[in-house]
Amino acid sequence: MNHYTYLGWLFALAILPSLLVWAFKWRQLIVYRKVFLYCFMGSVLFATPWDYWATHSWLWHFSPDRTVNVHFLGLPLEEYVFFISYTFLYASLALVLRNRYINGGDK
Amino acid sequence: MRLTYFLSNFIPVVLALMVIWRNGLPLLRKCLPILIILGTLGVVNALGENPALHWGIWSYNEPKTLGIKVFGVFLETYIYCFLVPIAIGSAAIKFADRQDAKRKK
Repeated sequence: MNHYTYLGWLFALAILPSLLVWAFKWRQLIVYRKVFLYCFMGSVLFATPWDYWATHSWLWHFSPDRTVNVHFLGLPLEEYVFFISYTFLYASLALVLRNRYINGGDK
Repeated sequence: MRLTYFLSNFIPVVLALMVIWRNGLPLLRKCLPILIILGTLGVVNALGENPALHWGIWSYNEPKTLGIKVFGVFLETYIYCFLVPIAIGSAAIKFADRQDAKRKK
């Protein structure tokens, strides 16, 4: 366990699954890059003040020994990676499933 | 307050869902099976909080939680992990639908 534990956790649970989805469906997903941009902006704008409040009112606490200790707007850098990587994963899955459900498969 | 964690998850996410669903109800209702799949995957992914808590990446102020743990993960986390993928998926489907409609014009 070290300062990269949180980043490693994010890689295993959000970044790696996203990369797997993109490895197989990148042709379908790349056309929606603007959709991803809007979703990233929405999630960061929505989650930052909420997470800031929760962290600073001691609802939860991040260990300085398990994070890289780079802070931005009062939150560890990993939190922004969390917002973006999970948004990336679930938006990718939603678009792949939508294509399968509405269009009946690959475009 | 024991409900702090629950309310701090539930209220913002439900508000976000209401905003996202406001103008896209027929489309998102049609895509409900997709959203349920995403929510279920989110609940499965929530189990990943167990090692995160075990390794001390983050910790909760337990008096502010309901104190109910399932497989080492707080009950509130499962609710959050069910609703957030639904919100993200709804937004992505809505934006993608708009983009497709513009392209067809």
